[in-house]
Amino acid sequence: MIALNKQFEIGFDDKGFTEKIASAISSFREVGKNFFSVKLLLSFIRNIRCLNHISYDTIRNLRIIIENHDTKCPDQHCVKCMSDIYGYVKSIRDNYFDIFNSISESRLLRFLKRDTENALSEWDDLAEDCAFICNPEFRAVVSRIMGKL
Amino acid sequence: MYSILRPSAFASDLKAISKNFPKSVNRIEDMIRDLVENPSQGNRYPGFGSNEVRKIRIGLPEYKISQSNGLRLIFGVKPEKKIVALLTIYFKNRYKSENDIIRTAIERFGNIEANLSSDL
Repeated sequence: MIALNKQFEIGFDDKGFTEKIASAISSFREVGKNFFSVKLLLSFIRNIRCLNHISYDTIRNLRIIIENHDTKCPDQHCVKCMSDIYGYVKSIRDNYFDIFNSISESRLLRFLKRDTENALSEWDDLAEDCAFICNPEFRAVVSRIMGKL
Repeated sequence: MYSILRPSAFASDLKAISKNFPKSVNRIEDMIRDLVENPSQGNRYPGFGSNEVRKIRIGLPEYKISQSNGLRLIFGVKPEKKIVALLTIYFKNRYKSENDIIRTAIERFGNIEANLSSDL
């Protein structure tokens, strides 16, 4: 015990040794911090790419659902389903816009900007189509025009 | 073969677009001519019964504008009479939100409806 106490005391008295330990710990911390930062960044990039890819598939499927809506829905002139879809699409588009803004602000992620912008404009286009479809005034005036032809 | 109906309100829309994008006039006219052969282009809007209302996207490579940021052409198809009625054409990036687009489009459709008997 005495010997251990002595060792302990010697260890703490030896400033060179404690400095070495402290610098080793801090360098481990730095490496750990950098490692996790890089890992976080890589996982963010992977997620954004995955999100863009999923976006195209989702938009394609949503367009199929929308185009076939009048044959599948019991009410041919139903606006409610389209209003629901418009609500979802609009919220996704708005969130995508936030993601796009965050990416645009970062120099490091600039290479993701083009893909994200393309996906955003696809969402925007779908939101515009849904807004047209669920607008009763648009449907009424176009139906009248088509009826007069 | 379908026949194309160009209402006077659409002609004025097209004139304004041609003024802004003179280099792309031929491209737009080609797209309109293509509708005679194939009116089932673009995305279909549901809820118009046997008639079809569609929207196509036109890119303007002459101005380095992609399809997604380019022009939008909305037209109606009446299959039993083989008529394609051009309803409106607009430049998407000119508008801030889809509500602005819809408001403007409905105004134009109102003009088309009012003058349709003379256009036919």
